Amino acid sequence: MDQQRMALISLNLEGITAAKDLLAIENYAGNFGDFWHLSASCLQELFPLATEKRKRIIKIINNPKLYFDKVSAIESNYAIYTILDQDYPFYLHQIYDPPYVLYVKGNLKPEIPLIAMVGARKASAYGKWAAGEFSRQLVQFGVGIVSGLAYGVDAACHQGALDADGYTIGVLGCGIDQIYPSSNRKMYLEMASSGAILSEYPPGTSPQKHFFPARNRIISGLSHGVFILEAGLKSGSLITAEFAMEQGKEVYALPGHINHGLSQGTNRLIQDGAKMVLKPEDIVDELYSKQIIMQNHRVSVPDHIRLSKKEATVMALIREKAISIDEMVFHTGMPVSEINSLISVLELKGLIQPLPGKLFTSCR
Amino acid sequence: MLAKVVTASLIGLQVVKIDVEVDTANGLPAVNIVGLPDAAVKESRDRVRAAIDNSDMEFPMQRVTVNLAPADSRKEGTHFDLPIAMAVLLSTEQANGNPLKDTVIIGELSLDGTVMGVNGVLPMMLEMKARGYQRMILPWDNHQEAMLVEGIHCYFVTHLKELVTDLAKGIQFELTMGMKIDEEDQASLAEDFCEISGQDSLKRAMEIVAAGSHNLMMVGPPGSGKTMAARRLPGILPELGFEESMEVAAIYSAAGLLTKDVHSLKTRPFRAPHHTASAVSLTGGGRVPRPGEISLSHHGVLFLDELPEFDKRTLEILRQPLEDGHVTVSRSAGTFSFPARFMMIGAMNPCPCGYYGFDEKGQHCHCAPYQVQRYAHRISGPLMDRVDLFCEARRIEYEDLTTTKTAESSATIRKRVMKARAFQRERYGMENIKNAYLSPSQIKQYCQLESDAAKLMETAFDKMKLSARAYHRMMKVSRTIADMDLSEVIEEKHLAEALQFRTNQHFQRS
Repeated sequence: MDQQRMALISLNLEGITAAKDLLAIENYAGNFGDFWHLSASCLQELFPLATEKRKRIIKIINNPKLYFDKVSAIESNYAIYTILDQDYPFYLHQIYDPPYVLYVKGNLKPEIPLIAMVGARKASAYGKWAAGEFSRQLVQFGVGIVSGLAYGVDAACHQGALDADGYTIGVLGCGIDQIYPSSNRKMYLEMASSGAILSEYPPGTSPQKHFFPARNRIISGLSHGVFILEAGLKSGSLITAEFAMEQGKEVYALPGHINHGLSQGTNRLIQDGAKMVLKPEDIVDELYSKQIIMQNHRVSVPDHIRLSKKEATVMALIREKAISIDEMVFHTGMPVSEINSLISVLELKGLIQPLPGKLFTSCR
Repeated sequence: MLAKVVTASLIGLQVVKIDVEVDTANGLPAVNIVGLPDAAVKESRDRVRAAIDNSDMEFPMQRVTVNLAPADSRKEGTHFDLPIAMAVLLSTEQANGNPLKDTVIIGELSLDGTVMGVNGVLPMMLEMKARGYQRMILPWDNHQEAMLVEGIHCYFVTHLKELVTDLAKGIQFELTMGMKIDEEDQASLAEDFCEISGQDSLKRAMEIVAAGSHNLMMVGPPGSGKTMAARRLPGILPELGFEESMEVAAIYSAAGLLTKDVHSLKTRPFRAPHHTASAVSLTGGGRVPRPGEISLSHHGVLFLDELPEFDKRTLEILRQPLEDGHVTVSRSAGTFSFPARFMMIGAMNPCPCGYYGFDEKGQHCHCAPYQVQRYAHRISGPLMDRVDLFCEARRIEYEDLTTTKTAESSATIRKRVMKARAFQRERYGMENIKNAYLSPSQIKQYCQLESDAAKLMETAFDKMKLSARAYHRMMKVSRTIADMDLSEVIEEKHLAEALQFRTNQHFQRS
C-alpha cells in the first residue's frame, strides 16, 4: 500500500498525472506497488514514443530514496490524499477522471455536504453581492461552499462563508503553496485554518492557463451541486457547469438581466434546464429532500427589524432597484444630509449595502 | 564721498534689510558692486549709469564702489537699481539726502530713468514696517499693492528725475490706508453652485469640506462634474481675513503673481496644477527657491484633477505639508520655509477606463479587476489617510437637467458655511484651529459623542471595519457636520451622515 501511494505521489511530482498514462502503468505492472520493479525495457514497451516521459519515470525508479524524502517533506506541511486512500473524498472518487493525488492544507470534513459556487472573475456588483449573500446564507444551513479562490465571484463566495463562520474549500489551479491571485492572501490563510485549500498540483507549481479548466472538474466533483452565479456565454464557469452535468451533479443558476453580458450564460443554463435559484432555500430544500442535509431551517435566524417611517420610504426605493443618493433626494424630497444619515443607519442594520459607484441595493 | 540708503532684499519669503553704501573716490573710472550680488544685481551698474545720464545728471567719472550690506547674504532681483542710483547721486551731492534718512527705497530703473514696478513689494513692506521703518519710496506701478499695508508714509515715483526734483523742493509722503474690508462688496461670482443641478451629495460634501477645511477626494466617471464642483468651492469659502490675505498676498508678490486687482485678494486662492506637474513645482524650488503651487494655494484650495495620473513621487511630497501647514525647501542659497496650509481636493476616475461602478448609460467598464485595484492603489495609503471625506460623483440624470427646482446659490451656501465656521471659532478660541486640523488628543477633548451616537460608532467600527485612522477621520467630519447644525455634542444623525463619506472600499488595503 505504502509503495503504491509513494509511486503515485512520485509520479505526480514529476508531472505524470494523466489518467491515461497512470492506467497504462497500472495495467502493465499489475498494481502501483510493482511499479518500482519496472525496467527500462518495460517502459520502452509501455511508452515507445515518449522519450521524455520515460526518462522521468526511470529517474523515479532509480532514486526511490530521494522521492521518499521529498514526499515526507511535503507531508510535514500538507496532507496528501491518493485515490487509493480510504479517506479520499468520496464524491470526487465517483467522477470520470478523478485526480490520483490531492494536496490539502486544512481539514477535509466529509460530514459536511458541499455546494460549489462559481462565476465570473470580472463579476458585476450584482454577482459579487449574490455570491456573498448566498454563501453566507447557505452556510447557515450547514452547507459548505467550494469555489476556486479567484477574483470576483469566487472570492465573494469564500468571503461570505468565512464571514458567517462557515466551512469553505478553495480548489487551486496551481501548487498548493502558491497564492494566486496574491490579493486573496488573507482569505487563503483564513481558509487554511478554518476550511481547506486543495490542489492536484504539487507544491511549487506555478499557475498555468490550462490548469484552471482542469481544476473546475474537482470543484464540481467535490460537491453535490454546482451553483453558477454569473457567466458569459463563453466562460470557465460554463465549463464547470458542463463538468457538473457530465458528473451527474445538479446545476443551479442565478437569473440575471437579459441584456447583461455576465448573465447571458446563466440565463441560458436556466433555459437549458438548470435549476433557477431565487433564494438559498431553493438549493437547501433539494438537498433536504435527497436526505443530504438533515434540516432545512437555518441554524441562526436574523431578527425582524423595525423601520421608522422615513427609513421605510427610503427602503422602498432601494428595494425597487439599485439607486444613488442623488436619486433618493430627487424622489423623496428629503434633504441630502438626512438621506445620508438614514442610509448609514440602514447599512448598519444590514438591510442595504453599497455597490461600487455608491449605488445602494437591498440585502432582501 | 560716502553715501548710504536703506533698501530690502527678498529671498524666498525671507526679507533682509540692506544698506546700500556707495563710495566715490578719485581713481580710474570704474564701478564695483560687492556684497554677493547675483547677475541681475550686477547688471544694475549699467542701468544706473544710463538712467542717471539720461535724467540730466552726471554719473561720476570716478572710482565708484557699491556695497550691499550685510555682505554675507545673497542678493537677487532688480529692485536695487533705484537705491543704488540714489546713493550714487547722494555721494556726488547731486541730490538732497536729508529727507532720505530712515527711508526704504525700492525700484527698478529703465535706461531713460523711468522707475518700473518690481515683485515682492508687499512682503518687503510688511517686514520693514515691522522693523520700524515708517517711510518708503516705491515705484508707482506698485501703488495698488502698497496701499494694502496700513500706516506707511509712501512716496510713489515714476521717474528718477522727478524724485530728485521733489527731494530738493521738499518731498511729500502719502499715508497708506490699508485694505478696506467692506461687507457689502461681494463680487458676483463667475462660477456659482446654482449652475449645478442635481449632484446633491457632491454639493453636500463640498459644503462640509468648506465648513471644516477638510480634504476631499471625489471619485467619478468622466463628465460627472467633479471639476465643475471643485472650481466652485472657493465661492462658498469665507473671504480671507486681513492677516490671511496679507500672508497670501506676500506669497503671490514674491512669486510675481500679484494682480493689480485688489478685490481678488479677498477671495481664496484656487490652484489647479496639471497632472504633469513636477515635485519642485508643487513645493517650490529653484536655486533661490520661489513658492510652489502648494504655497500659492495657502489658505485656499489645491485642486488635483486626475490624481492617479500625477507622478507618485510628486504626490508623496504633499504628505508633510498637509500635516505641518508649511513646506521647507533647502537649496544652495539657503533653507526656506513657505507657508502651505491648503485644502486638498482630489478628483479621479474609479478605474483606467473611467466607468467602474458607474456603468449605466450604455457605458461599461472594460477594465480587469486587478487594473481597477492597481489604479486606486496608485495613491499611497499615507496620502489617502490625510483625506477626510470621500465622495462619489455620478453623472447627472436627465431628470436633474430638466428639473424646475432651482439649485441653491453659492451665496446661500456660503452663509451657512460662515455660521459653522463662526461656531467653530467660538469653541476653539484661536483663529487657526479648524476641525480638519484636530489632533487625536484634541478629538478626545472636543468631539463628544452623544450616547446614541457612541453606540452607533461602536456598531459601525465593527461592521464597516473602520481602522483607527478612519475612526479619527469620522470623528472630525461628524464634528463639522454637528457644527453646521450648531450643536455642541455630536448626535447620532451627524455621525451617521459622516459615515457616508468614509473611504471607498477599493481604496482599502488588506
